[in-house]
Amino acid sequence: MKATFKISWRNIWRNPLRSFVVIFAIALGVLGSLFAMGFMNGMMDQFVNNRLNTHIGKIQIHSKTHDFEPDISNTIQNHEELIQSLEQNENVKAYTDRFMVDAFASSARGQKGITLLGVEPKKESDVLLVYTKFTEGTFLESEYKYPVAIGYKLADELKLSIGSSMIIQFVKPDSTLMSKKFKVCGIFKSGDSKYDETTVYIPKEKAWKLAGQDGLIHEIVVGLKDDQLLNETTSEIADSSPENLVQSYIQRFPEMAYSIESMDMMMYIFMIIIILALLFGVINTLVMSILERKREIGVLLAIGMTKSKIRTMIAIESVIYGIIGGPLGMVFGYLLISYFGSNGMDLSGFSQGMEAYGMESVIYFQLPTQYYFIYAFLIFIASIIGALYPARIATRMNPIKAIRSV
Amino acid sequence: MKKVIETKDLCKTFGEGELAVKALDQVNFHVEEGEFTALVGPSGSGKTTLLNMIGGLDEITSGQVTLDGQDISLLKKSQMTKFRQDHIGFVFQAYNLIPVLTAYENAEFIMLLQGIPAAERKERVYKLLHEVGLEGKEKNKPGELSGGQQQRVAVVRALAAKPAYILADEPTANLDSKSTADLLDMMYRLNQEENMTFIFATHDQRVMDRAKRIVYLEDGKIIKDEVR
Ligand SMILES: Nc1ncnc2c1ncn2[C@@H]1O[C@H](COP(=O)(O)OP(=O)(O)O)[C@@H](O)[C@H]1O
Ligand SMILES: [Mg+2]
Repeated sequence: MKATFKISWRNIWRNPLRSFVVIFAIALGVLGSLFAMGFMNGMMDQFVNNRLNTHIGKIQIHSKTHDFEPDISNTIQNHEELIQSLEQNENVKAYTDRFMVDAFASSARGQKGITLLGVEPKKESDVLLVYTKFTEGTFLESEYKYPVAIGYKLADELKLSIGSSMIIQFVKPDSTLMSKKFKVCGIFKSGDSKYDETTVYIPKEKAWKLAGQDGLIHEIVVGLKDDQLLNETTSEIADSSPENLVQSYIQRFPEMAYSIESMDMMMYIFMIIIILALLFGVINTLVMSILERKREIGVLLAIGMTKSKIRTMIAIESVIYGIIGGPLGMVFGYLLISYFGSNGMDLSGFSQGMEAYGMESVIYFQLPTQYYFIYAFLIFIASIIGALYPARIATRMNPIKAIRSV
Repeated sequence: MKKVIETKDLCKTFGEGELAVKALDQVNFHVEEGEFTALVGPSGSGKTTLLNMIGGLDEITSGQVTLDGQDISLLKKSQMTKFRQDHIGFVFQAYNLIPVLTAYENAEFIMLLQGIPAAERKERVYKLLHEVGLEGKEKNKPGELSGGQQQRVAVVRALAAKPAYILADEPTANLDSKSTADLLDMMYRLNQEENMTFIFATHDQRVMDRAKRIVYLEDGKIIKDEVR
């Protein structure tokens, strides 16, 4: 083994330029793919997890018919009992029960259909992270009598800033139109631009007062202690409140769960494509180097180096390329992902299209550690596979012919 | 005297049908321990082919070859490789050495494959390199040595592994007269002092002049075998 390793190692540096090119190519391939993976994963994470954590929550409860008739009178049934069972549930961390109605927002500069949420900021903040997303002002903590918190997109569209007035209109339970002037007390940027364009928060008691009826609850969002128990907890709540629709985010937004899964799959496909491409580079280099060393390999065979040792020699050469190139690419990939993970990558130059899908223009890269390990392992395996064909060429050589060829 | 090589009715044919070339034709030949023998003959007479057969490098067409007491037809390919490692030393025409290894590393290479301990390897290599006048060249790569020096390292590599005999195919073909004389002196001395068996294939008169036995080949047949 020592003899074999020595020859392999020296052979790598016999043509340093060629080896550097291969190692550099591997490093660059790995770096590039990690970069893309960090980008995709970060984007997906922003898109999915951020939406879950800031405004969707883990479990949502509505009246059974609310999705088809989002009417102001279509409230959650047996609200009190449901709240009680939530408070008794071991796995429920917190919940927020909301007033929620389709409404109309207007300013002197324009108008817009919105979803109006009447909330208690304290309860809301125990479940969701919107309160951490304010770029200006506060989450309804204000001396204004009728404060409103809006997303930055809506603020842009209606040309609103802190202290500006905004008229909110909605149809009351008695079918008359309510219209009230609010003052903007806070502007948030949630990471989901669709949400930032269409969601407006006001205090719950103000919503009830304007609706002319107390206790109107259209939606409850539940936060969990242990997310692993999502399905169990969802059915527990559903069992205790059969007259309402209790859904985990996976049930309510199946496409989100699907996109998480398909992202995982995409990562692997990505890694494998890059590895296949690199494999061809490595195989090509090894074959070239073996054809140059034909005579030498003939001598090695003649003086008694076994074919299995020669195969090992070639496998070591291949693995050395991978072992230097792979981690090199990974270190720089990691640094790059960390950098863009904390600073973000600003795509605002060409992100108009993305925002239409509710994605942000600044992407914060992210890649779970496990992918680095899996990638390293795949590269190692691929290096060995990459040595198979070149090793076959080498060990099929006839020592006599090989020695004769100069 | 111990017979280290013996062939019985050895035939070797290359190719098939009309294109078949009979490179060796019913060769009966044996070598005893301590010989210093030259296989001579015109180009194409079968010298290299015979050397390859008694080096266990090529397959026998018919006949029998016994090397260091072993009937090699009984060995599988991988066993044959190992057999060469332990029993046969090789010196080829040129470019014998592994270019990425130093003279010292080349010299110890077979011993490394044999699993001989470091201390013993070191002792043997230093002693032999000294004997052949290569002290101080241990760290040189083959590219930094002259052709004659490279051939001497190749002889040391073969010798250090303690083979039953050493085969050398035209070892002087690429050397000038001085290097040829030096290499022959060295091998002759190793033959005299250590009783190492050498068999050369050559058409170099200088080698023939030093040989103790000359075997003449023509068209794959031994036509004359003279001991001097
Ligand atoms: N691999 C081979 N394929 C076909 N013919 C060969 C091969 N090797 C040797 N020969 C033929 O066998 C004969 C003997 O060759 P060789 O042993 O190399 O002669 P020498 O070494 O005496 O010059 C020649 O006619 C040569 O052409
Ligand atoms: Mg020849």
